Amino acid sequence: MNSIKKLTTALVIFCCLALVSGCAQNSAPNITKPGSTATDKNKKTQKMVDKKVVLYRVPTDGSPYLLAESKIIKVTNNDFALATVKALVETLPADRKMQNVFPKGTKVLGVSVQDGIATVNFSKEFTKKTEGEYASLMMVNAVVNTLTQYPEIKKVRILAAGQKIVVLGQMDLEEPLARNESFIKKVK
Amino acid sequence: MSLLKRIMILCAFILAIVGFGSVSAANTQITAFNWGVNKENTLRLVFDITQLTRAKAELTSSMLKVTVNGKLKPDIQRRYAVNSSKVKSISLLAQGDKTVLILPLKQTLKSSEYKLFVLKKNPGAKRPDRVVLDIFNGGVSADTPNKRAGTHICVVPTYSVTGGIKGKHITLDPGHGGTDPGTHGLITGVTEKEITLPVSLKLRAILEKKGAIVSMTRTTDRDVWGPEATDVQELQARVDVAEKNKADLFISVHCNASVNTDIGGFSTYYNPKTSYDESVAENIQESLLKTASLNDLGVREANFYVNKRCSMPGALVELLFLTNAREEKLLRSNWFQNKMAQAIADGIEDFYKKNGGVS
Repeated sequence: MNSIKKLTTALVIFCCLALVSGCAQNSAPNITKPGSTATDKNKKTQKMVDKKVVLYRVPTDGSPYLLAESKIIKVTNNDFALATVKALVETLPADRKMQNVFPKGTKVLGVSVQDGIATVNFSKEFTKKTEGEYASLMMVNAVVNTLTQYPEIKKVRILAAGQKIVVLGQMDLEEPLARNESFIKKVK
Repeated sequence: MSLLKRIMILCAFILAIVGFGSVSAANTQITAFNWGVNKENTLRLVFDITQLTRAKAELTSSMLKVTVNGKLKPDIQRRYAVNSSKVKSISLLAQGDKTVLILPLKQTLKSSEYKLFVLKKNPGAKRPDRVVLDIFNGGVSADTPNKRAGTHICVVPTYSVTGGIKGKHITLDPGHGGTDPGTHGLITGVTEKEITLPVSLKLRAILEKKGAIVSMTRTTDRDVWGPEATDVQELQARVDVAEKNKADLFISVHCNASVNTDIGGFSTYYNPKTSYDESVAENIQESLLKTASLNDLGVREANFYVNKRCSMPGALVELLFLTNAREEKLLRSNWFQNKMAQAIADGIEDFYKKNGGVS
């Protein structure tokens, strides 16, 4: 009788744990561990799907707040971060109130996500000097705020040609950056 | 019957923890972490939090663990060496929306020997909501008395924010200089470095009149590190001036620029590396806005190198836009340079006044 009790308790604990870990997986559907998922799920993750994302754009009028552009992009579960940054850097905004201030020729060479930190590797053009602090400040905050819309990305590290950028203009980019809401215009 | 009870208790326990995490921790942030020993020899550890939240303590024979339902700001130092009779070290761990404080113990701690509680914000003293852990008799032994005995909380860094502006060491950093002109005006072509230097020199004179001890990263039109410096060397050289002078405050003076010539106004930036930076920026910005009818572009967080790397509180002031015709004129005029310098100095004085009564 006693051993049955113990077994039942163990079973309940197991069930509860399974429930909890299940919840955690649901909240981060885009993180897939290669090898640990079922094959049919792997096939699914490779499939291109439409995803509605927010791209934080720099306003054309030079005002100091980023503007949110809603855009539908094609992603697979594995490259959602890369696809999002590529959309931000390599496309022009539809609305003429917004502009793309990334230096000419800037390419996104890669984006990886690990332990809540997204590492974005830009081509060397990214570090071209700009007039005044405005463009670089807005551009960096656009990248960080765009990527941190995903719950699995808490901070963003920016590299150029695979190298750490310590200073860009007046900014310190050595450490990964967290979302900065003070650059997003609050809708009144 | 007893089996059913056990299952129910178990389920309730697990659900309580899950519900807890997802509801109350959602928006709370830990903006600062300070600790020290007071004159009663209590080791006090304080989390500054953005809103009231839950915290729980778990005591084992070898460790005291405190979980605060709030997200740890990334800039907060994670490990501290401590000279305590009870605690071996202090470590912070960020776990999603929660923060875990881990204190390995030197000896068994009784539950009556510590206290975990919440202090509500005190706007008068500019203190936010706080989660406080007191460990009684947790300080150093009596033969090494605490130098700052009598203070409420001893903050580890060497800067001071209390007792008013008199005697405060303030480092001023006129932005750019030498081979780096910064931005420029569109009408006269005046450069940023030609504005930041005279404003900073005027600011120095006013601060000295108020009793502060002022040091400058440069007093002439030059590069601080040297003309051949990398960007990092040049900015670090400015930080070094503040550190060498053991500054209590670091203020960098710049002018703004925009592709849109209609844009104008004041903005003040800070990096929240200490719990005072935001307040410094707010006081300066507020004071600058009194100079004339000019646009308020706000107090904003930024990761500017000089603010982030200095150990003392500070701000970076963006004085108007050289690309705006009206503001270019203001920036060039001697009387308005005086006005802005006076405003920054008053803002700094306000900051110290507001911190006056609290240690």
